[in-house]
Amino acid sequence: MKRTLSDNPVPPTLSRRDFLKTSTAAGLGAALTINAIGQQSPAVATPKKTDEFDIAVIGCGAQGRVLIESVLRIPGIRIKAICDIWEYSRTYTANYLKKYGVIVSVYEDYRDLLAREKGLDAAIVATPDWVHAEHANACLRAGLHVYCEKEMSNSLEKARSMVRAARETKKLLQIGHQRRSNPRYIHAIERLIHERKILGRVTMAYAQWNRSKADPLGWPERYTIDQATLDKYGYRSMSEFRNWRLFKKYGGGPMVDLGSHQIDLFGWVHGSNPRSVTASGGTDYYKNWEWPDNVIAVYEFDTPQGRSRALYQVQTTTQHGGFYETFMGENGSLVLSEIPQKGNWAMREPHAPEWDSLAKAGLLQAEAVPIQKTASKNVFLDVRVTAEAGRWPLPIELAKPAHQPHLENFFDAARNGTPLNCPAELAFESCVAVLTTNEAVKARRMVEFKPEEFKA
Amino acid sequence: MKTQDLLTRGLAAGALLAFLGAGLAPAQENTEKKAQLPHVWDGGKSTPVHLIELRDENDKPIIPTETNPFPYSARYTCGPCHEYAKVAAGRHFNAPISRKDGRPGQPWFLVDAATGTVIPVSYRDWPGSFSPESLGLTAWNMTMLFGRNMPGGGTAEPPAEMEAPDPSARWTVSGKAEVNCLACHNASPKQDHSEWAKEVLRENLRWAATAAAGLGEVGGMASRLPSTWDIYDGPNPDDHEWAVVPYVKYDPKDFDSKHRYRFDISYPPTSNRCLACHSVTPVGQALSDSDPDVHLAAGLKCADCHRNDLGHDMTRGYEGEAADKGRAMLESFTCRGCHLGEDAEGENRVTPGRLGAPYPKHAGIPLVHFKRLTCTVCHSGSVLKDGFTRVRTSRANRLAIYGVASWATDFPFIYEPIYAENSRGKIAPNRIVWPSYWGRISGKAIIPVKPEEVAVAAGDILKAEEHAARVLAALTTAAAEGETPVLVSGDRMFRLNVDAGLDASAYGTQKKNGWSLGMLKDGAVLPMVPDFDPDSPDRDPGLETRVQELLTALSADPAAVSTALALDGTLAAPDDPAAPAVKPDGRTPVFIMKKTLYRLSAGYLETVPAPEGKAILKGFAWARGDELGPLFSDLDIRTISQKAGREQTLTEEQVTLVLGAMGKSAVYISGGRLFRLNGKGRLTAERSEAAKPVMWPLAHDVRPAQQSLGRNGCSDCHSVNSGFFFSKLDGRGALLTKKTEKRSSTSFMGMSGLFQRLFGLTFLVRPILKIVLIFCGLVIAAMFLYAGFRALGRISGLSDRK
Repeated sequence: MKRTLSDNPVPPTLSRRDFLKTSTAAGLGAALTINAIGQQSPAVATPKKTDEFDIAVIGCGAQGRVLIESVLRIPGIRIKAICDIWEYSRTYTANYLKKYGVIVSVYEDYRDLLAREKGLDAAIVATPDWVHAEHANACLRAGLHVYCEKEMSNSLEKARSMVRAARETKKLLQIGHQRRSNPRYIHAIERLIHERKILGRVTMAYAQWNRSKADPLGWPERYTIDQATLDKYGYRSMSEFRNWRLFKKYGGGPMVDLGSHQIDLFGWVHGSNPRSVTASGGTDYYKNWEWPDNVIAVYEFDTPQGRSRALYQVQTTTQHGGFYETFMGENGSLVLSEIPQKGNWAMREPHAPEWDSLAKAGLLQAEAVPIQKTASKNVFLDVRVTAEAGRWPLPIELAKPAHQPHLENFFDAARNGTPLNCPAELAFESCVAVLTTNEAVKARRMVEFKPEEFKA
Repeated sequence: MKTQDLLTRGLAAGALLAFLGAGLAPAQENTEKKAQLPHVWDGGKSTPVHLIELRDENDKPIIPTETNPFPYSARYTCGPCHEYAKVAAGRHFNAPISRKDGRPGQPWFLVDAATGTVIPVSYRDWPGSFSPESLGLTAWNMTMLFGRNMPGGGTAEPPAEMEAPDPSARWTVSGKAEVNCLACHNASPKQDHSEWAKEVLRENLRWAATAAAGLGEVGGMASRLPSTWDIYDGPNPDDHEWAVVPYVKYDPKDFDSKHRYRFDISYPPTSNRCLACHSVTPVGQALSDSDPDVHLAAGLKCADCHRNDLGHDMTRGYEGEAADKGRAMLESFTCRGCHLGEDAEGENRVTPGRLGAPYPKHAGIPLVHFKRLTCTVCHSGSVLKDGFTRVRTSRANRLAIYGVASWATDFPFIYEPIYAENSRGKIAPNRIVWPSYWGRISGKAIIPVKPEEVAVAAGDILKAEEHAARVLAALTTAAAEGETPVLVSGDRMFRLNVDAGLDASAYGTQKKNGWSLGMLKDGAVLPMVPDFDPDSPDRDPGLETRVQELLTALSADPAAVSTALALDGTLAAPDDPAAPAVKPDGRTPVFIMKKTLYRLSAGYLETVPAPEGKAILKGFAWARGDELGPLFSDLDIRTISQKAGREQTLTEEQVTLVLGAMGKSAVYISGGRLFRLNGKGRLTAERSEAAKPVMWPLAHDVRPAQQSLGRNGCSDCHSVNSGFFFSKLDGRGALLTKKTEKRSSTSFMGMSGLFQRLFGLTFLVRPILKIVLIFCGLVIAAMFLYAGFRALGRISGLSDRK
């Protein structure tokens, strides 16, 4: 039977405008207006409006600047002060803010910042992992809400102290696992996997973060921090300061830097913490790293539907495949990546219940047409191969910097009381899983977790 | 238009002066520290070998085998011997702080063909040009717009004080473009101006000089990196395909064992380097028909006359420059000084003949010509014989930048020679451009509107060609080998060109109504889908497969169906500039054959009855719910057809619609006229100060004496119909219209055309007058002879005897 034209065949897809009421365009426009014109030098500061929120940024390196870029797009957030022990980062960031008309107070020592900057509402901590606890706890105790970059710490004890400090001060502590606020991830994991059970029983997960080999970070010689200052802040050398992620004193290596994002997703999808981890890795390529430059880990998860396993690898000598996460179940699989081109679709098992209703409801986009056989002059070409299964793209777009929704969630929680997407307690659980993986690599055996280990 | 910017300019100038005075202190200190040779010429006339180490922006030597080396820095590589601050204050770099700069030159032209915008822009206080500040253009904007022809420094290297606030600026990612010494002084055949332009477009500013000089191979694009990236963040280990961090690879073979690079330096620069940015060529002239400037042909270089010392205060060579700069020596670098030995006042106080300059006889030319005309009137630029000549210049029309596709532009339309009185009261030849821009009336002023704002207000009105091109591009994916999708309308056929625009060609002998899409194959246009009866059980299933392929191809680009205007001509709501350029609006492509409508559903072809009352539609259309419309609106087709083969990019209908969308105060300037809507919504044209053209004097190319004006006698100019006095010029802008300013040559000179015609007439009777005068002379001579003989006779007594 023929359909009529008014039977709209196009499902009501969830565009970014529909899904994200605060579009980037509007957000950016408003943010720039407010930040560029409204923000004043501290010397001529205007009285704070009730909806304005003053923050400081402690740690202005590459990650700090990434967070600042997002903060500038959020209406009502005023960056009042920045802090970094490295003059180069301080100057760079102050100049970066200046082009948006944002004039900030600049500090070398976070203690001076906290002592002098009155009226702050929150702080963003983007310093090396080993001082997260020191900085975040000090801010919490100064009465500030804190957004702290992941990993919480390179020490479980320090990470635990952060949870406790947040509890004691009754201030918010959001940890920067930004995928927790990414609408694509929320849609895929909460809507499709948990609510609609699109995969059926999840039996396997796989994630990887492979990146090319890289040289140690350098620095302009005229901006070398003098040894006395390095000593004051606990760094043995400028080289270690610049490449802190590679050293056990300051960081956790690639497993922590990269893996923590994805191991956190394993727990989110399975709805539980792992019961064990078996890992292998080593410092096989780089001679001057203290942490393993490659790790392969297998996690076991006990879920109400049964046991599931997750395989994870991080490589720092090849970018093969890049970074993405795959969740596999009896009815299909779902591929995600923070870069949509690398993962933003579901694939249905042939026997699975139909997904057309999901497409009509706008939860998935209609299956992409499989590649069709085309006329070829090559008569010897054997085309009798199984066509690749059709991909069902997710209908959600994130037209914002990746960290912006997570920061928005933090500021929304601080101003309006909405729940944090990654509070310290939750982040501590994945911190346990991740830091223990490094221990498993060292122990060269399976390490089993006890449930109480995930409690701070 | 300039006065409003005084404060801004003052601040900017102050900032730059502060920068030059104090900000460069580290560089000066460095220079002092490293100086091995004082910059005092020792008299040697050979160019020293430049076997020197390359140094980066941190003043560190570049080791070619090191990983992730930095690009070279002129400040620290050239600076130790050639004081960077002094060079950076030179004329090629100082526009932002040296706004009073003698005789006007060619401004930059802010060109946006899509909105019909051609605005002259200059930091210099030149009449007819807008200051960048008045247009809201920051140093970053100017660098991105015109950096292709900038030699680094100045605008492309603003001090931090000038940067704030400008959210669009990305100096921290791109770095700044230091003075590019090698752009002029590198005599190596590796020096590539096109590479410079490419790197600027990629925002690889700190790498551009290294790439353009061929010192190293540069890759990556700063333009694709996040605004927070810093060069010390190093390469991105997660992305080696798209957001690739700029890098440079040096070839160790180019260096000696001490890591020194052997430059091929030319002081003064070769003319080829100057001509990269200073070429002027008549439109349509064949390369084989192009002669160089007579001075170059004689073996001189540009820099032989346009000299400078370390301060790079270029000698421009115009009369009056010596007084402007207080340097008498400059009198010998004007035409008059070099060839005649005269200073600007006409006194013989200059030693002529530099570089063997010949002394012209100028035999028989009345002296008034030398008092009233500059030398360039007769000797420079195009000959005003058959009308004014349209030319293209390097900086305005992006000449000599080569790549995959031609990057030259038709805009702006530049004409020469316009003879007009200069500030010294002499007639001089000029080039002229009529500006085209959208504006808003504010009091008595017209405030230009940025092209991007116009585009937002215009919505789909200005996208007819883009829309058609997108449709054709989408259909290309469904074309078989040898097929080219085309749009046929009237007696023309339109196809996609390599610049994603439309090329028009004649098709058929009769104008056809409406439009159709087809596939061009072997010179014939085949229908996209042959007629068939969808209800026939015997229909060829291959035809429906074809429909599916074509609809799938069209669906791949939402803009192919979403930018079309609705049938009633209503306009899309103005959008915010931050939104993506293409916004799917729910329209999907459909195909209608007889009473059946084909559309895609989840990738599969399905049919529904075509709605009643829409039977007029056939072929490809768009659908949205119950709405149905043709793929191309009537406005699209009218616009495309009217502009076919024309260089103008706007029609009167488009301007009328856009002015309506922009609101009451909106105006459009083009061709010397101001356009606005009257109370009835009709487009009117009127004269306006805001529509006046911008002119600047020309000096090159200089023609040989035998091709100079007057070579054929007085009638070259003084005749009833001489091109010199009576050529006509229509104001030409981006709008396709007959309502333009029409000027004669005499009107530019401020002279009476009637007087010049009458004066020209006198040259018709002058030959007869000469005969009469000669006859009279002979009669008088005979009388004197007679009288002489009589007197002689008396003296000798012969008369008395008689």
